[in-house]
Amino acid sequence: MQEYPKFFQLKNREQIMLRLMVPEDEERLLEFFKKLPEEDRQVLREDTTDPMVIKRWVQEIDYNKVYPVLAEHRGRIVGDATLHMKQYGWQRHIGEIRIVIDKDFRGQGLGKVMIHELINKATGLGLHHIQLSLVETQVKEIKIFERMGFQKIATLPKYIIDVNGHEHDLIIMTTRVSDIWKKMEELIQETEIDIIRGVQ
Amino acid sequence: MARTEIRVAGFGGQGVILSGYIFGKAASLFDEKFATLIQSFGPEARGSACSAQVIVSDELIDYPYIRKPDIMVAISQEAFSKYSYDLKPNGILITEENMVTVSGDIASMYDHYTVPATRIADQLGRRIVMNMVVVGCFTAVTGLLKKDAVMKAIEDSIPKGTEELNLKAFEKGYEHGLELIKQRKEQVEEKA
Repeated sequence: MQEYPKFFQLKNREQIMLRLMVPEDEERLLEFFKKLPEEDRQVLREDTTDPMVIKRWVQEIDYNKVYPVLAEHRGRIVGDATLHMKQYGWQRHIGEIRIVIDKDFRGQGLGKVMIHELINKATGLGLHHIQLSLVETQVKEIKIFERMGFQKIATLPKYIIDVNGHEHDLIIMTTRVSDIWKKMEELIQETEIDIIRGVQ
Repeated sequence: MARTEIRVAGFGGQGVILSGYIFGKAASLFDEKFATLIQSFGPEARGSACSAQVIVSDELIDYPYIRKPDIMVAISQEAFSKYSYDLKPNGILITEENMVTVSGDIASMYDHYTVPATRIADQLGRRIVMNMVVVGCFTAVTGLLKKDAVMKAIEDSIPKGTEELNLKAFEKGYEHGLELIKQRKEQVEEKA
């Protein structure tokens, strides 16, 4: 079972604490998002510099709908990764990941740690696929996700218009997280079928 | 409790043996009891009846085969038909609600409980955890093993990464079992 807080050491030897978002994080979350470079904020779905947006997030925390993991360094939030889930309908087996990392903490393995955390959660919840959306300009991020086993499954041409009015392609990537359940099936099969072969 | 004989029966691929293994592990490693497990199968690998024979005892077990089970768990009709003949009169019978039909005459001979394990597992998103729902119901209804011991045995027996859903399935089954016990008590009180 996942238990928080969890502690990790980054490549630069700084220690990071991972934990779930709680309502008391409102102020520190706002600070974190305000500190993000403008080009990062352009690709977010909401205006995270608006205090009302953050207030709504923390007031509406429901871990069954959105599972929000925060990375904390010396009391400061430096990463926010969320797993979004549908409770009903034909997409209930799909989780969507969104992640934002403080500029000073990129390239240190933090994103990878947080993504793995969400993949483990998705696996544990029995989701089949994890999906994420990126803008074509996020070349470095696309490569990182590819190295983590995600595949580009669709490109929506000129689907995004940034704050400066420029059009960009939207890239959709997915990874299948249900493979771990094959081990469960194999375990059941092994205990029941291999022995049958043995006694036949 | 000197010796309790349990038979878990279903068809290949339902997790029958894993369930028996979890009962045995919970008893022997996490509940300070003794346990044995013997497995038997039908002629084909999948879809045919298989059963796990588990014995749980406070004392050393000298004979590992069951003679007349005190408890039977049946999760397929074929397995129920094949193995239910030797369940002790008034023994505990737990059946999967949608997989096994038990006639009123037969049900009245036993302390019979049903669990919609397949439906619950489907609601949780993976049918493969159906056996954990059954394990949860068994734990609540029989009171034979400590809940914590069974949960530890589950965590210790399943692939890493699948713990959360398996334990959630166990909890759902356990809650269902407690509800059945509560209903049973209320019925007894009404009759009294």
